[in-house]
Amino acid sequence: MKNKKKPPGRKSVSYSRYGYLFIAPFFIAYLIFSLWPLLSTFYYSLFEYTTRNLRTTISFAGLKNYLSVLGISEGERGYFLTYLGNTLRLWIFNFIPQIILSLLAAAWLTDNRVKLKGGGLYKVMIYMPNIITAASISLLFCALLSKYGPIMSMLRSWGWIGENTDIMLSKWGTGISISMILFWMWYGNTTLLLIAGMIGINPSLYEAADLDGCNGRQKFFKITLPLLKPVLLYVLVTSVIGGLQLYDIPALFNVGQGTGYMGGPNDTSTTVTMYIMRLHTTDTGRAAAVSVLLFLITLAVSLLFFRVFSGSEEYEKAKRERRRRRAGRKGGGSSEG
Amino acid sequence: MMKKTLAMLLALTMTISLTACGGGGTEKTSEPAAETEEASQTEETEDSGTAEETAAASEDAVPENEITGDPSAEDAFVIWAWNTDFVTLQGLLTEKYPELADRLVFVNCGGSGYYQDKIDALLDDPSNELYPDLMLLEAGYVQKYVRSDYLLSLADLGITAEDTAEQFQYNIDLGSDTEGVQKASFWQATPGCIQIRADLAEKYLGTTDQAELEEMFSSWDSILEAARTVNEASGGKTKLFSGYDDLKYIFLNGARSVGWYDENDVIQVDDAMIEYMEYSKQLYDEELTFNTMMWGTDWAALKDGDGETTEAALAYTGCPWYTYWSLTDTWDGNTILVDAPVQFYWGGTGLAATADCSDTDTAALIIRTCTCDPEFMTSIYEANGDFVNNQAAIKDIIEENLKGTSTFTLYGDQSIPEFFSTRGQGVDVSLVTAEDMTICETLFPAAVTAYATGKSDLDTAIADFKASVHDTYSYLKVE
Repeated sequence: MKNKKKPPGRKSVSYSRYGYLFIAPFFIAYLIFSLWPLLSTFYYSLFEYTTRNLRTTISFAGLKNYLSVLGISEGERGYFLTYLGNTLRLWIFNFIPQIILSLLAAAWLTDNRVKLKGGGLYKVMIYMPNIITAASISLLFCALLSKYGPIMSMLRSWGWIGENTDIMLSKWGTGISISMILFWMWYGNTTLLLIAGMIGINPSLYEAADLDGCNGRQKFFKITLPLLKPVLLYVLVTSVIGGLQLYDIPALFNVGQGTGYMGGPNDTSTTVTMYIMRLHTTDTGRAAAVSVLLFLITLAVSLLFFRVFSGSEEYEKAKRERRRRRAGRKGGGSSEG
Repeated sequence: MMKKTLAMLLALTMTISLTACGGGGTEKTSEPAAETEEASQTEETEDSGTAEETAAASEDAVPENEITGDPSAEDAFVIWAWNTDFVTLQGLLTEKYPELADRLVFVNCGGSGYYQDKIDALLDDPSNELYPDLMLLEAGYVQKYVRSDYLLSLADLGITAEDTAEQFQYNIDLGSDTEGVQKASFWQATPGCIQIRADLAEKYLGTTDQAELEEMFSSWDSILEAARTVNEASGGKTKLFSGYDDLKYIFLNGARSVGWYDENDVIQVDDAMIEYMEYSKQLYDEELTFNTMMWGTDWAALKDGDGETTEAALAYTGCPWYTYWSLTDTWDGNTILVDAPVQFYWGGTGLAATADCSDTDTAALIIRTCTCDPEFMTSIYEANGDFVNNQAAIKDIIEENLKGTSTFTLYGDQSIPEFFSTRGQGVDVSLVTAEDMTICETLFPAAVTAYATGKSDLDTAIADFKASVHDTYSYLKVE
């Protein structure tokens, strides 16, 4: 890095503006397609929109929409909280097995001692489910797991499940199925991230550990896991953000005829984004309020994790390092690198 | 190399998370990605097998409009639909009026689930070259448009009550607003029935005689009896109906005497709907159906079971378009039609001209030809087998024993046009509201399932239902 401030009178070619040009498309697209809709959502959420027979009336409502979806105002149910609960339940049962299996797979695939054959092929294969469109996967599993679908018929003929077992009528059956689909879809992605993280760990640490007579387990818990913390946190944050916005799988999995607005059975697999979709045609204001709440929660969760992240030793060290460098530069530039 | 891989991976995940984050802050994304094609319970579903395939193929993104004709032409006349049904009619029209051939622009939005979102945005924008001059409307949401300010009445187009005199009354009512002004005109009539698989009826009900079966299906009690008989006789491999959900249109579109809300917008549940919930519970408790939901995989598969080694349903709720389009080969020459305990209708497609229609004469010509002209409507029947909404045409078809292109036949000497010609009379459709489609197909079935399966008691199920209606349509009130 060069100092940005040039002594007056001295000519030099500044290449930084080309850099700005290169990153400009992203920021322009971001401002128009992300930031502006985000801000306008806040604005919309303060109005009461009623669309009836295609005639829309709009009136200022203050925080009424928020009170309504949170069930605070009288006569309203807090659907938002119910659906948030559903969403988190679907997410957590996908994340726990996912992170365990991914860690295991990543540890094996990177271990120099195990030296798995066909590791590359395996990496490609576990990523495959993520390539297929979620909608197709959802419909496929819906057919496979339906009461008279192949899987359930097979289990029934083996006598493993009762004559009338139908996961589509069971809250936990449906919930766990959705979680398992998500798990299956995403663990490849997570594994690859963790592999990338593990490859980045200095191999000499493992060599030293080997010399000291560590077993595989000790190496995993004492070396791999602590040094993997940043990547783990990244995985956690992206997963929780994705999880909160869970839509495609539950919106197509156990929804009766018609729409993906209500997840069966008895509304127990409806997620927050499905709720937004249900409201957006009839009640833009409340749909916006739900979106804003979801945004705030996402933000809070992300900040919380970054806080945890910043508490880590690695991060502190990096920060100290950066400060020292910056002090050396005497306040030149604000880029954090 | 390592760094490269890592960078690639991070870039990839960033892109993924970016797209994933897109929905969070923006409620404006109007992609009804979830609305499965199965949604469309009307005639665009030829059989649910294809419905699923289309759904699977197009669910992730809103499909492109398929446009035939040149919308930028000066005299373009744009017609909007969600499937290709109208193409047959358009072919017949241009045969009769060749001058229309170059003008008609047909827009197929790609699926019933996307139709409303796409067209609602256009209706506010008459300057758009794709602004519909004529639009197709499905019975489930026809009232939403009829009650809006976006349609012309038939009277505006110069189509009189005399022109529509041969239409079935309930179809006229379905296309009319609360003041009785008709805006949408249907070319199909859709009286309901119950369709019985003859081979299974022979085996488990002991008869294929229409009169005897009619008797068995004459009341809800006798249907319950028949359901028990079938269940016992087949050892549970065959059930009378695939699911209690199958009966919903009979109750919704025939047994109700009040709509979903009263004149003060207070949500109400008709006694007939409570009766339906109780009936569903009884069917569920006694295991008399397979508890499938309509248009699901199991529901479709149960049409083709043999009833001995594989599960099968003996009867399905039907109507003309369903009978000749959605039944599988198993049912060809093997279907007996009988009446449900009440007369009802199911589905139907109407034509309506929009408020800013560029050429009302052409709109009038098309609507009059397709929905009022017995001769033309007979040719529709011959071309695609539609049970047309014209009593004179139906009479001709029966008298001259005309055959459409459809090779589907009923069991014995029963004839589709003859059976339906006297059905659907006296059905009260004045209680259909603009919100009916979502309430009838999403919100109410959820309440029925909750109660039938014992997840909620009756009061809770109804309270939950009302709350969900109010939550979806905040202008409708709970008490």
